[in-house]
Amino acid sequence: MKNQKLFCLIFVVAFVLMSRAVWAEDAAPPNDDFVMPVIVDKKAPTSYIQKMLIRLDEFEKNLRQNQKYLIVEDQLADLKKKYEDFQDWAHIKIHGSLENQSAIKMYQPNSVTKLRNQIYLTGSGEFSPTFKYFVSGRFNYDSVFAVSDHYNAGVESDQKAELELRDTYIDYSTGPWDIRLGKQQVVWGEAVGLFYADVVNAKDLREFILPDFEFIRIPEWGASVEFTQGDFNSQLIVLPGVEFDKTGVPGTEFTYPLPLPNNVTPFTVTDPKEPKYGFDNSKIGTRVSYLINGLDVGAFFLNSWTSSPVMYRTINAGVYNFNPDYERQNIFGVTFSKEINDYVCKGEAVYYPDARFSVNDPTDFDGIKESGYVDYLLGVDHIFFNKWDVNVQYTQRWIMDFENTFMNEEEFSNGFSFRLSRNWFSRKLTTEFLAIAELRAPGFLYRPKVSYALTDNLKMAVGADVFSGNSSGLFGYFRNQSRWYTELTYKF
Amino acid sequence: MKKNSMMFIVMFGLACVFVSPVLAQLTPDEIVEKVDEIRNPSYDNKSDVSVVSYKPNRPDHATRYAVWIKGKDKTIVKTTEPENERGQALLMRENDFWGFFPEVSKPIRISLQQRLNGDVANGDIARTNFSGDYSAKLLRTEKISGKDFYVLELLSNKDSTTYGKVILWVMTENFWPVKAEFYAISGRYLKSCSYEDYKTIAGRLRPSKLVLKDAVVKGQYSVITYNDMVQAEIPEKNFTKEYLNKLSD
Repeated sequence: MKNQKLFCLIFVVAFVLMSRAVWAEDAAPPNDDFVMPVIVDKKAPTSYIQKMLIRLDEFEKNLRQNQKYLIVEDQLADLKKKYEDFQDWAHIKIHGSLENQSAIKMYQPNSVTKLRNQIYLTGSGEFSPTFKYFVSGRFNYDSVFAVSDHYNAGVESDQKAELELRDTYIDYSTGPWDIRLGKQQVVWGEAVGLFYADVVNAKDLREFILPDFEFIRIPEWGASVEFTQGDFNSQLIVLPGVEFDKTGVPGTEFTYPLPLPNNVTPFTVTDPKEPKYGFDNSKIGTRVSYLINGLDVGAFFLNSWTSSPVMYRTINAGVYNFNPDYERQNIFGVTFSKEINDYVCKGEAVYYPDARFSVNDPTDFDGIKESGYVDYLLGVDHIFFNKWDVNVQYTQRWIMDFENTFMNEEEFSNGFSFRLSRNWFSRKLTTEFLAIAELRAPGFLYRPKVSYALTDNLKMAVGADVFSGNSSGLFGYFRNQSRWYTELTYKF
Repeated sequence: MKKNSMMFIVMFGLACVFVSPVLAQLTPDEIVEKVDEIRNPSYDNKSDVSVVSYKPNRPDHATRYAVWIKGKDKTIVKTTEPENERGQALLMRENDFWGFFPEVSKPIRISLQQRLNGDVANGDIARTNFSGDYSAKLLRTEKISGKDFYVLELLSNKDSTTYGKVILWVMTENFWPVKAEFYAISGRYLKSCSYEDYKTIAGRLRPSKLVLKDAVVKGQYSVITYNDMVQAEIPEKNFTKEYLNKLSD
């Protein structure tokens, strides 16, 4: 009951924000005698300004038809002018979405694992044609904690309600230069459905890689400077507001395994100390790309922190004590894409020269060994029969100084991904299927999804995330987390 | 008054004498260039385009786009409505294409084939030029409803064109395109287009409505309406994949 009230409250707040009437009324208008004939209805406008003008016209007609409230033409014209001035003064476009995400476990005990309601709002505008801004944020409330005891108190504290500032920045453009200052996502790479060259932003992995990538990446505070000349583009980034991967507290659906040997149960884990915001701790990177005869090639370098902590450990009297810590690391990468006879070929390779691996060797003093490794991906896209959009990708990891003690690793480990999608009924219905396979410890993730646009604003989706395979790989490890899910999204 | 009238008649006569041979000597490719000048201004521009697709026994599908065009071979088509698709964008740079999808927040390389997918090819929306991409041949002249028309055959001379062949009906008196038939590279008849509602757009009379009828499915057609078109200085760098996440509506 309490939960229902809270949900109603959230819905009302969202609705009010969505209609933007609050914003329109509360913001200081250019003149004190400004009167806004706001009529709040449940049809959220696709274009607020257009709808408001239509309402203004309706208002005008009503006034003309009703002698009691008849006012003169000049006054109406004056009212419209003031409203136009107000739009110019505000310089903002507001959009967003209301979304419900629900999930239920596929296997016994079929618990409901998610009843999340999300409000996402964006505001954008221009101070001038070369000076723009963008603000965004979201609020999540998960009702599952009210209807189920599936999670412990720690998870409830971590995931029940969350208010987050998302991408928020200003863009300045002059000549060949583009500067973005603020909280931002920096997206590199060509891959579909996988993170390889997409190395800059930390990731929110509390739901593994299942949410939209836009929301998996955690925006970070900093600056990006781009220089574009013809087919050449270069980018320099400095992100002092470093963030680190979120993996959730013990008891969440997707708790990641510790690097423990089989049959070792006593262990302790200390909390890693995240480096603080500051220029000394910045992520610094650069990327260049060039388009030549249809071949789009890029190369990048990033000096950063490990996005997840290195699991240093000691063993005292058979008890494994983990002292996770973050380390600086260098990342080098190359990317390419090229269309050849309606087939889009793409690839990326990322080299970590000084990566750290957990080892299954009790005599090793800290449980960590260094080795360089390369992750690379080759993919191809094609549309079959003018309807079926297909993407196939092959991946491989090569650990250069591999030793047999490396935990859950092989010198070469391969993987594949396959994505098939098609639109039906004038793009109202979309069917998708994504399969990702890792071959080292054979494991699979299957993701069928059907989405249907009920209206221009409202879309619903039904799908499944099915994990299977050997438990020494992540897909197999999460096999009990397989789930059915629904999404209902209202965009405005 | 009489003197002025006489002068006007003489000047008009001279103009006819000098101009008609010039027009008579226009090559088919030059006619197509004149058609292109009407279909699309030669300068950089931004337009607001609505597309409504009609299919038998299916709901209508309405979309709206912001379109930026620079030169003959650089175009961005960004979806502004419906809300479910808002923010999606397509960058066309001659033979190279990228799509931008808000849910992944990054540009994705796509093929020419993907560019053509959908009820209305993006080349239709962008009014990509015929001249340069197609070689024209004058098939015949026709008189329809008392008006004279050039009937031109345009054959694609580039891999990146939207269609393999176009048959184009052009009014001889003003080079207005009135009708076109589009064929795939295989020769299959794909769709017809009628250029309607000539209005002053970007300083010149241009067709503000294109009705594209599917050649195979009877009753399936799309209407492209150009609501607005303005001349705009658009920097070259805007037509790069890196700029796709910086586009405003």
